[in-house]
Amino acid sequence: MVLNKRIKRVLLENKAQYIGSILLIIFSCFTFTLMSQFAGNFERLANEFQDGYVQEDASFKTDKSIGNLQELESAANAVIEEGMTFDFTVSEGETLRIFSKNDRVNLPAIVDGKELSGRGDILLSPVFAAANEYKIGDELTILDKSFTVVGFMALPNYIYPLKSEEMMMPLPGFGTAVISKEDFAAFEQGNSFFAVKFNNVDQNPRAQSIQFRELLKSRGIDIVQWTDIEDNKRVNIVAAEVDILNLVSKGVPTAILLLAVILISNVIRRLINRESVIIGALYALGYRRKEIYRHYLTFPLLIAIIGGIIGTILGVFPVRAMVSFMLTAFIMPLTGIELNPIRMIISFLLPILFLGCSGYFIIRKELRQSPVELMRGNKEKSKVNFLERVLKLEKLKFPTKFKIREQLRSLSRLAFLLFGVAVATMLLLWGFTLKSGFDNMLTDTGVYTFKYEYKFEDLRYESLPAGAEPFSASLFLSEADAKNDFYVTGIMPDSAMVTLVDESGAPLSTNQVVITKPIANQLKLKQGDTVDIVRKLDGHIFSVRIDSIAETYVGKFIFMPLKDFNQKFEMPEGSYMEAFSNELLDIPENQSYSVVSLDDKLAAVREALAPTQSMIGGLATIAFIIGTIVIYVVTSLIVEENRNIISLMKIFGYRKKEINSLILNSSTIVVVIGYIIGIPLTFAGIGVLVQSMEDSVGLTLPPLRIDLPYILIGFIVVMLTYELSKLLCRKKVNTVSMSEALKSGME
Amino acid sequence: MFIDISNLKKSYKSGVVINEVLKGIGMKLEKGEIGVILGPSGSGKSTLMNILGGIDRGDSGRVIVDGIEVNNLNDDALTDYRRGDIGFVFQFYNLVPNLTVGENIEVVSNISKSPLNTDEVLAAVEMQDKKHRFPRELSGGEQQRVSLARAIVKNPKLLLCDEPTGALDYFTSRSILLLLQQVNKKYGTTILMITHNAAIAAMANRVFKLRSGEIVEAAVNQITVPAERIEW
Repeated sequence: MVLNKRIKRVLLENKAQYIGSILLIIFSCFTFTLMSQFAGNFERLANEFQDGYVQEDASFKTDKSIGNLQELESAANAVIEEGMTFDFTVSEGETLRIFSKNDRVNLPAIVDGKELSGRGDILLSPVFAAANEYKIGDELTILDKSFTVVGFMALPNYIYPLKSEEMMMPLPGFGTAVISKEDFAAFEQGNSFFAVKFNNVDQNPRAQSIQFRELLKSRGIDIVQWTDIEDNKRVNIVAAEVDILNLVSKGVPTAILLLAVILISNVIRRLINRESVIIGALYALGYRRKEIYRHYLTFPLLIAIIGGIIGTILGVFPVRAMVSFMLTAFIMPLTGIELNPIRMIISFLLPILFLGCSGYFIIRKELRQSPVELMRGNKEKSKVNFLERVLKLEKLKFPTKFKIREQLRSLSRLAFLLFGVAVATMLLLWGFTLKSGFDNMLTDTGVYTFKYEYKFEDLRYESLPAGAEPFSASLFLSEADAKNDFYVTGIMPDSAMVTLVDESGAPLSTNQVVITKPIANQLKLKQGDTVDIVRKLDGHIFSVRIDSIAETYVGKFIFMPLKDFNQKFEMPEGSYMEAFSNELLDIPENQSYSVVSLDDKLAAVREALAPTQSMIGGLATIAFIIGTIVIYVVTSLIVEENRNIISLMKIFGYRKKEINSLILNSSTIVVVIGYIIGIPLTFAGIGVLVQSMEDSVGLTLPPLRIDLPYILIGFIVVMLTYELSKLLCRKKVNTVSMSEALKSGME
Repeated sequence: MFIDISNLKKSYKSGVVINEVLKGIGMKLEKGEIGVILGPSGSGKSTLMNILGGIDRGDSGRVIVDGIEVNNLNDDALTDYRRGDIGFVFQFYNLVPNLTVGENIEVVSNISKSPLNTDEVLAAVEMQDKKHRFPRELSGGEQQRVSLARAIVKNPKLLLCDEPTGALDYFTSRSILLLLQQVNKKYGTTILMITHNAAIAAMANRVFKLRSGEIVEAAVNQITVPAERIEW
């Protein structure tokens, strides 16, 4: 159709609007492709690793050794392998958890180098090796025995290498290592544990785990520690990460795509309005409605196709880099990147579908007029909408009235600007809010006043020196909510190591049952309630009456006096399994234990927050670009629609500064409102994310709030995009000539 | 002499073609008079008006308005000149569609040093009851009244009217011409009007006939006809 020859010319005439639209589509497809392919690959790698290297279904410790393991395996229809481990302090702040190499469950996957080939070989986790600059071939001395690093490996039960399950973030100086069983035996130390993999793939592993525990019990074997893989924070955080990636891969591109849809709808509506006389003439010349439809549909479809292809292709390139980056935190082998063609097709087709449909409806609405009406032209331009009509602005100064009317003139343009600024604000504040949450969590550690936390392998009865307090903790579930577990912790009455306060900030005695706020919220408990809780180790049910609720978000805990703890949970009187201390304790050599310092925990959180800074920087850049596109496109639309008014103002003797102030500054209030709207939307978005984290890994963040400095920084960034857009549009205003108003009549 | 133009020349270059629009025009108009420029399309009337209004510049010659040599003003001084001294009335009204009648008048009063009262000028054009209406809700004649009110609110020294009745029917046109005459009398505003309609010349003090960039006839009417008696 000869008419289509003008498409290129029309696109070039209004470059800003079309380039802005294409950029938004590119952004949308880029983020969708990148995030979805990234999430897909991450999930696939995790699944392949877990299946290929026989990830355990549960790990456990028993009070005594299991005699005939083969017989137990066939009775339980499972593969059971006994492993050995101990923590070795390489240097100050550098700890290696050394495992004997398993052959049947939790097999180490070589990510670089080669397998253990004999005695004196050692495999290290790549993150530990990188952090401490160990290379393949380096020598490492452990308890006076020399080892050669032959390769780097990943363990399927240590994907996220937490030193202890109570921690949230891996410690920078903590890593895992695998040596041969013979080498391990030669040390003559370490703790034994069992990893079990059930053979029946059709039955739920948790159900099999319950049956297996019953089986052990029936054989007189007491379990002292049990962790189902679903509760293993070193593994289940992978699922949480995939959930978050999937959430982000849908939310962000959809928001940007919607922005593009609103923008294109605006642009097409304006194009048709501007060309209504031409369209009327084409009808009069015998063109069919279908042909006109097809012509105008070409614009949104062309933008969707160009943006879709470029965005989808660009989104593919960084997938490998993103996965590799992710695997520096989640230790898994990178076997390759697979691109899911369906996701690529969706990425390409989605903008076509969205823009095609919205474009079709806009064109249909605009072309509903008769050829005569169309030829009469520009009805839309002089229309006054409901809001403009009802607003009484008499008492305001003229510039204020003018700016308000300018914004209300096009409600779709107003919606686009509001929505665009809100989306940019959300992206900008997303990182800031998370950082505020973590900052608050770090400062909330006032609840603990000890320096070291000891965990003993066996029950202890010995009294502790001054400056140390015994405690015991067990994992429980609520009968009503079997998904999220929590600790019940027996501590010293009137503990000096654990300081709890109530909602008003008044101190709470620890000589009673106190629950922390996250668990109270989760189980909807209030003071005086009684809750039935299930001990995860053996499924026993206990009732606990809540005396007080502590206003703290350090974790999900029920604190009670240690004596009551032992009594209620049938533990030997005077026993304890853990200890808080302000000094390092002198523990006899025959007692196994692990120790974590509170400073290490905080250092881990701070370390983990470091990448957050770059994430915030990245998000701020994207927000800046989107904000600039949106505000620039809207401002240029305003200039475009007001060419006659600008021209008229010049004739009337308005100075450049005055025109710029009236026309370009008219969006200021909308940008500010968009930013303000963006703040609660950010909270809502992050609320979904945090809920997902809480559901997946039981991570609890304090109630979301964003600190004032971050709000101000966000505001400055948004206003900078606004000023930049105005600067870019100032030239457009200056080029409007006075003759434009003279040549055309506006009414 | 309020307006004193002599030997004004203006040409436009389009590619290699030079179009000489004004070929050495001279004209004079006293303060408080109404002048009418008659001429066919392409005769140079609009160009002459644009130069007088400070929207365009002549290539050579002298254009003096109330003692100001308009042709010699720089861009900023021209802006001040338009801002303070000149009122414009256009053939197609050029009202801002999303501003009410009152606000359209404020577009000009907003930048005037000592504007007239908006209600007073609205009353002068008999539009006070439509102050809160939008242009779309007015007839062509009413819109031209608003356009006139907008032009006179700054109490300009010179009111330039480009075919003010060109888009109106006979009766409405007469009412607008009557208003112009009333404004001229009430505020002492000098008015220069360009038109195709020769009948309008009867209400002017001076009439200039323009053809192909030259004034072919300049006449002084000793007796001007009230607008309500003009017929065509």
